[in-house]
Amino acid sequence: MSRELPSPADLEIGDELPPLLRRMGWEEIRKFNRYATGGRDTQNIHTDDETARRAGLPRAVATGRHPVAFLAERMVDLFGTGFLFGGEIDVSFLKPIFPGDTLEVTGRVRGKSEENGKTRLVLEVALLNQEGAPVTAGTASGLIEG
Amino acid sequence: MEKPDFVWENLRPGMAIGERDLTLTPQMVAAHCEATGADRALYRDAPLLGAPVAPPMIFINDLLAICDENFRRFGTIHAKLSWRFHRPARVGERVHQKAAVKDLYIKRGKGWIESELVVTGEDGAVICTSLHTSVLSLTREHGGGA
Repeated sequence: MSRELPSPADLEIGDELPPLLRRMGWEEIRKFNRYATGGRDTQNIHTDDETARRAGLPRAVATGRHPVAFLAERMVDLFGTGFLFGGEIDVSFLKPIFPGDTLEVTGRVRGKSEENGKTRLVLEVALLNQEGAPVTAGTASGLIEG
Repeated sequence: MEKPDFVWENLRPGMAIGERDLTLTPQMVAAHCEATGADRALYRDAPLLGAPVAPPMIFINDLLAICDENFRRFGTIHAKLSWRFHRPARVGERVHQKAAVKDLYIKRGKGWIESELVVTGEDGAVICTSLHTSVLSLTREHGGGA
């Protein structure tokens, strides 16, 4: 389950997770839109440049919710059941994500605290676009046994 | 009966947005995994709670879905998103979802809404909660997304 990640018990404050790249192409965005709309292909600000322009955007943008799933899955990679039972995510959406962007999923250990006999490991997490700009950022945490 | 518009004048803090029950099917999990790229044996066939479990973000679209069942929504621009995962939902489990307005406020000339989703399992225990902070239309607008 840990893939290329270290055990969370071995991480210290300041340690960084190996970055993970996720592409946000039209196909990924439309696939998520179809899922979000119950299987329908709809034209909206996420799937159509012209609709986005009419709404005052430069072009279509991905929904911010979509890549939060990338962060959550990265935390499952790291914590396993320690994220499924007790995980937390708090993020802000800082910049739009455009079709064709490549997102780098990053994490850096910010702190540890004790919680009911377990250790909660808190990470600063972010999604960086291909220019290195954070588009989504915040914290995520999970529990470590013992 | 026509649904009310999901705009400032029709909402107030503490008000219910809606609630519903649904049974998590393998198809729902597969659709989520297809849309988000989540892929691990835990979600398909490895029993953790006596059955495969759903990815933590399985309810990623459900607050908006409940909103759309009860209101006419004109697009949502998310600013922040928080999730607390208490335990995973089991595939096949009947869950109850309740969405409510937590807070409404005006900041820098824009209307903001904090809305909460609480998902409980068959045992009555909370599976997860999420808090969405979004820009809220003060009046009806067009061009929104999923």
